[in-house]
Amino acid sequence: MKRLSRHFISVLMLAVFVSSCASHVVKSTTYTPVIVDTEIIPEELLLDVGVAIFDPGIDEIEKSEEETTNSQIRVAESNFVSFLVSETLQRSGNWGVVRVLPANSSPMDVMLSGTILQSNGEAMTIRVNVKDSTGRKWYTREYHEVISQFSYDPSQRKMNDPFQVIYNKIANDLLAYRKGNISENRITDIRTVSELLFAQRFAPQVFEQYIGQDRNGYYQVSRLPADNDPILLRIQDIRERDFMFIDTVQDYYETYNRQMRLPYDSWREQSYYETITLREIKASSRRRLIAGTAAVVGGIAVAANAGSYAAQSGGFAGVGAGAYLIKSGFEKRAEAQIHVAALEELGLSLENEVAPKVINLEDRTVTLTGNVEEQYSQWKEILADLYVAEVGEQ
Amino acid sequence: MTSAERTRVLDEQLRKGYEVFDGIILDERERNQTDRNANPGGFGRVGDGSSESGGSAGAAGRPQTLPANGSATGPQVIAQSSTSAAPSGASFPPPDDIPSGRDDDVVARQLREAATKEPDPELREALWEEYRNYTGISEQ
Repeated sequence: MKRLSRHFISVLMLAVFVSSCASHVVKSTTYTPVIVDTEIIPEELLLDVGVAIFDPGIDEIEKSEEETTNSQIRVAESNFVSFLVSETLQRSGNWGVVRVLPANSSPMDVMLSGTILQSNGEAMTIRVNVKDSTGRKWYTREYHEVISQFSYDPSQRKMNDPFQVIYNKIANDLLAYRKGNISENRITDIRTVSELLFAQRFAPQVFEQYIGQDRNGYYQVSRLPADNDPILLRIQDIRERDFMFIDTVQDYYETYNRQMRLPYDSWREQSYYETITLREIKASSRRRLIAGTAAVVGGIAVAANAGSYAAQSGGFAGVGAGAYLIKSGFEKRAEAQIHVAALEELGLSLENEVAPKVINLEDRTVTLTGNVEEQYSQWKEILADLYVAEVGEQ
Repeated sequence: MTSAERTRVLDEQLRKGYEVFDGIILDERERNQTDRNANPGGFGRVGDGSSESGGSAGAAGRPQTLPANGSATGPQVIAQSSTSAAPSGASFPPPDDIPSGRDDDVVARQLREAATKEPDPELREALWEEYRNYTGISEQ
């Protein structure tokens, strides 16, 4: 009997302990700045970087986050984050031209793509893939950051995006990989392949002889065209215009980010607090339900096996306490639903604000791309005719 | 028609295509600049609800940088030869005698862009003068 009572007391104490435990999330308070390469790199060894518009990661949203994730906001974020990554890389000064590439049609020396796996104002997880123009994969890495309330301090937000540290880490890893793994010869190869791929796009009949693929499917330079090749000189003029087109699209994204920043930051800040509150309430609800169930089971066992009235009363008291904990656990669960609804409402509010901006951005990009591609088609035909005319001359 | 003549004709077609292309890009940039001036929000005093117009697009998102040797020297940003890294503040309208710029080539377009973004009136006028000389407006 004494043993049973002791067991019940242990269960009750465990229940009380479990219900009072709090979960902790480790938050980063250190700021990782962007590393600037102190080594002076000649212009011909600077690699241009294309940042593909990130995958919003809708298919990879975890079940537990489905109800609090707004897919339209994810799409808006994918444009926003891609631009910030490109801007961070550009401002690091470690690369040549760094541009957001929505269509991914222009070959760049290095291509960086990514997927947003989580973003709720408190935490962000991004998976990044990097490869070069030869097709060689550099790496795939995941970046996860949980930020503190300090990141939303107005003085901080004037300086940086709350998740700037993730973009800085992406930039630093890219620099470290290039310095540690890519020789000068390989940089030259990568740059030449990019140029020849671009030339091949416009004059395949001329440039297919200069570039091939090895048995692994990686592009390699077969031989080099003459510097004064008339078709190559014309293609250099076209490439200059392709960069103008890419710059214009970059301007679209810059304007979009300017328009999006205030409402998006406001949403992230409110979402930050709601997410924390929701997590704490859900954890509290879970603890109460576990502890309550344990107390009820323990209390019933004591009451059923009690040899005295006092022990039986103790058992019933345990059942009562457990029932109370279970009830309060359900109340917490209902309270959590209020915060889920608040997050949904916040999401809808931002969605209404940013969705037209996303549509406008996509419309303008698609329209300009269409106009440019129409010009490119004409130029391809002219270049083909020029090739025939110049071959006839020889 | 000889091959050489045919080449000249095709090169002329290509050149006209470039002009059309440059016109499309210039129009888009002007339109984008107008949009940006009309919607200056975003980068600026975030948090207190106000925003600054003009200024570098990346001012708020500018990363703090650190040399590779690890010693912190405070914020430093290396300017790149990129359109977006250049100051993208207010746009100044061209003088009355300057045409639309649809037929500008690359050099004229760059002169026009530099002039419309130059806040110093004297320098701006010097750039427009250069534009006039380059495009031949001053000779007309």
